[in-house]
Amino acid sequence: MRNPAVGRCIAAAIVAVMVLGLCTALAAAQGSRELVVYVTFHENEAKRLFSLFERETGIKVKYLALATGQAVARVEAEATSPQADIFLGAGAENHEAMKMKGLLAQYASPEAAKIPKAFKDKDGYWTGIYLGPVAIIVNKDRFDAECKPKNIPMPETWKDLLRPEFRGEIVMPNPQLSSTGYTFLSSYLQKYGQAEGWAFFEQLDKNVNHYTKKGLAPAQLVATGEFLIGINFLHDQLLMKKAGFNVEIIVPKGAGWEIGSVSIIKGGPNPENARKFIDFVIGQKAQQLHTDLTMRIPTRPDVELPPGVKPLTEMDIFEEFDIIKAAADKEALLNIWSKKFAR
Amino acid sequence: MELSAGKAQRHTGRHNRTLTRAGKVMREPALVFVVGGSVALLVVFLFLPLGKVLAMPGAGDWLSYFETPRFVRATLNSLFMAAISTASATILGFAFAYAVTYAEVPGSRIFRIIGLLPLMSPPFVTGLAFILLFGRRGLITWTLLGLRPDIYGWKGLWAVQTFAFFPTAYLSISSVLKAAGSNLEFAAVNVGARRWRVFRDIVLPLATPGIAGAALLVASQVLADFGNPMLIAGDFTVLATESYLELITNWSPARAAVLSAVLLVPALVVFLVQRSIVERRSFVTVTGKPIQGTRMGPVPWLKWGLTVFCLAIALFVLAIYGVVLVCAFVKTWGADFTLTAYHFVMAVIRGRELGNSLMLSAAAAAFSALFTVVLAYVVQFKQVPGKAVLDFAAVLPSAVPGTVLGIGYVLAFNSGPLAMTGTAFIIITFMIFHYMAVGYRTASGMLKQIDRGIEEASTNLGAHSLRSFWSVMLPLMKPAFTTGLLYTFIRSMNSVSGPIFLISPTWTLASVSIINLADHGYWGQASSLGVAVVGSIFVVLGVARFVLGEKVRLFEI
Repeated sequence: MRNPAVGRCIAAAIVAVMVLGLCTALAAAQGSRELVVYVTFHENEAKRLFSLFERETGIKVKYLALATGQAVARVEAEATSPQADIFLGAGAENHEAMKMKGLLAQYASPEAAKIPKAFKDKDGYWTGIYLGPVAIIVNKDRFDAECKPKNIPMPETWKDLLRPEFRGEIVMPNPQLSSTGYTFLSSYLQKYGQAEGWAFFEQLDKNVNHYTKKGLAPAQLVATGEFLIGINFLHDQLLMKKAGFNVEIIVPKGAGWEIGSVSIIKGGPNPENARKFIDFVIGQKAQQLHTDLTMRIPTRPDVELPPGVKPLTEMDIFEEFDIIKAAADKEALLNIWSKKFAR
Repeated sequence: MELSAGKAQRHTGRHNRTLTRAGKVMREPALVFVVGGSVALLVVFLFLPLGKVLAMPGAGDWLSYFETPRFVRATLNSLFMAAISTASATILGFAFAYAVTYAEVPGSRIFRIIGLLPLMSPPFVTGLAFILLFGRRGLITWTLLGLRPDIYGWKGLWAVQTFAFFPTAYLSISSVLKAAGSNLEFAAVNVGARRWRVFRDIVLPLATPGIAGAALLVASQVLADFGNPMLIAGDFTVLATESYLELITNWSPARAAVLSAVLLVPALVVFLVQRSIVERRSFVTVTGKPIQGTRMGPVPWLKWGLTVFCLAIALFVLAIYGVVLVCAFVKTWGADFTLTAYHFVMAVIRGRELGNSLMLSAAAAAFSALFTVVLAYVVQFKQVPGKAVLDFAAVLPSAVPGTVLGIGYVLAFNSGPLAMTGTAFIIITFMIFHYMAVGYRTASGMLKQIDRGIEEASTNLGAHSLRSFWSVMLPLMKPAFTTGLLYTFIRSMNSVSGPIFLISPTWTLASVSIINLADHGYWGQASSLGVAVVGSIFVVLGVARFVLGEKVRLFEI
């Protein structure tokens, strides 16, 4: 070697390549440091969960925020070569449908033991993260000014919403377009039967100003005083209260509900990390973070609830609500609904 | 026009009589490349997606359209809304343009800038502010006037759409009014015509193509918009909203494609009608020289009336943007008016959406401006086969609602050899091809005024097409280039209806993010991002004016 500097450079390069190769090999032996998630929460909420997970485990989360239908279609389309490990968010009926199609992997997380039976799959394919009951939101400023003088009591049951004084003052989501709206419709019909149920919605229809296209809209429209009464999920309404609006929130007896759930996609690229994520996301710390951020009621009993919210055990909700039957009935019920109420 | 084309042909014919037209094209490899490339791009990024929308649904999907009353009703509603909103927005836009560029009412300079504001913000933001001001418990309607209008339905939507899209009409009409020659008016007055006759027989006919063009732009935007209908229309459904919900909420691409295809029909009819009107009555008096002689302004009482009208519109616009500004910087509108920078920090400083929007819009604007200038040059100046088709293809996108093209992009580029969903590239190409029509129209309008002799001189001196284009034509077309650049940039910054289908975790856009934030109740963050979008557009316009060293020629659309 005539020029020692060149020789040294080459030697250094060879060593560098070897070190690099060794590192790669080590990393591979340790397993991947990555996780791919399809999530239906808003990015602002999903990001916080994922960064906590990254801090705790060092596993990097790649995620795609999708609407529920889109996420399900995607997992189905990728069944032969799954691209994602976790499906996070969306009501349990979606996870159940995917389980039936053989798209999910079973996992008995040690953390799942802390979650009551009613809120998880008996075979361990999906686990509930939060429970969202359908509730009533009332604008208190308007109620005090317009209803109190007339001795109209604050509504407490679904039937209270049928008072003629509320004509044109109620907003609820369109069941055809929003899962919130459909949860309300299907749970009511299950609880009170077809005849009584449809009679109720026919009466309610007279008071409904319009059926919103998005599930969240009623809470916003009532908070800003545009309408007196709204029907949608409790957590959407609690967010308005948290923001400082003067609203009254009522969870009526026998209210329907959704369980936002999480599951592992079968054959995903990082199964080991997927299990770690399940342990994490149904764990106490993640549930607390999620609750504080979104006001959703956690399925775990050991999480501090948003102020003014009763624990699940004290809420008188429709416990027998069969979400799987509701999902199966969807097309038929919506057909009837659109014949009766589509405007 | 026709005369000079004939002259050009005779002229070049003298050089080489034996060559056929196609043969002549083949002689210039650069030209072949440009023409072939343009055709290929238009086929892949315009006709393929549109073809997919039409071809994807099967017979069953079409049947379900006719069997679902909701869809049929939405179609009729869309047509109805497009008709009334286009009429009102165009009338409003014409009156505003007439007042500030023709009658030059006092304060015109300020009115011109204020009139542009709604063009620079995503329509959704204005819808939100509209509710807070004019809703059933709106600041103005309820708190100040004690009114309780029911805005949730077609009336409220009509008001919002008129307001959101009148600036588009105002912009394109004002450019025509500016160009309309006052010499004719001067002559008319000299032979004793009265003001009303001058307006009816000279000003209005001269402005007709501009008005038709404005109406087309407004109609296709109203047809495509789903943000405002979602927010304000109550039970009144429109096609754009329905096809969006079919794709995003129900994930049924076939039905979304059916609804899009239906949406395309009225859009194309409007387009063809507008084209025939413009072609039949294209007698704009462009001399390229500054206007000489005095204009026939309106009688004083009308001028004052117009001033009051402009003032009312300006106050309305400012009120809307005032609300957006307040929303952006207080904790919660309606509940807690404590000042805070929290929303702005969360949505703008920490988010990468605004940066993405600026980057992708700038890239799209640059490519679009260059592409349209080259295309216009080829079509206007070169004897290439099928140039009528090229001309048609270049202006067609202005008629295609963003929803339709966006869904077409998803269908065409989701898989297979052209798979590119989720990339920045797909968003940029969407922006380029959707907003190219205005740049193209401006460029070809400008080229029609340039004497071919200039280029022929260059060619005769031995320069090739490419060289003549680069050193002779391009500098002359700089104003058209600027217009295409800025128009594409502004529209791209605010486009929602197409990109909402194309964004991915890495490539989110501010305009789409605003809708998602508002949907999830983050009104403060949505408003902050809206403010940031408007602000950054103004900054870019300022920089453009400085860098390009001339008046920003947005009025020349």
